[in-house]
Amino acid sequence: MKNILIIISIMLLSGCSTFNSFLVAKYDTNEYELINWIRTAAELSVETCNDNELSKQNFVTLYNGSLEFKNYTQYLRRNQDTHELAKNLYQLVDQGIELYATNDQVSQAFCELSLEQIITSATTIQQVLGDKPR
Amino acid sequence: MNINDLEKKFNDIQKLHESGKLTDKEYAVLINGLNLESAISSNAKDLQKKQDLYDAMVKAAKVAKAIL
Repeated sequence: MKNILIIISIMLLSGCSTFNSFLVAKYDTNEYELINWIRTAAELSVETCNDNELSKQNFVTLYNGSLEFKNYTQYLRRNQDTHELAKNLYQLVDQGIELYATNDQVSQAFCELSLEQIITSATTIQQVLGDKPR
Repeated sequence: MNINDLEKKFNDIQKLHESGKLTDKEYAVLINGLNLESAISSNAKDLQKKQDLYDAMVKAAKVAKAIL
């Protein structure tokens, strides 16, 4: 009987360690709100891509949002995967703002395509964050 | 993002660059952006799989608990 209990205990412990390795962060309302904000701001920005100065300002706003999103996701428990996504999105926005900072005139085509990349990526992230376990 | 999406996006950028609507610098930034977009898509799929597995394991654990 004692041996059976030991074997069951070992099996349960082994199961727990496997289980823990797949633990993921729970759904976070603030995290979801931040990514939704970035996506929406990017969608609204497309409409003004014909205005260079306004577009430059829009990229600054998106940069601030993506930096906040990256920082917010960093130290949440078991949230490394989401933080990696946030870092990639931040880089995507950062390279856009870098271009606006170093060029007086940026084309409308660049603005639209760059924002399209940000919108698609933010939407992809939003979908997976929305499906986090409650 | 599947391979067809990636190809279409790459071709769009390529065409705009060849027609002179994108500068060399803009073209380079957009190509790099395409790589980042692709990485986000791939990492999001991995996270989704992990979340689905977690859900399945939680359900299985509840069933096991009920049996025991």
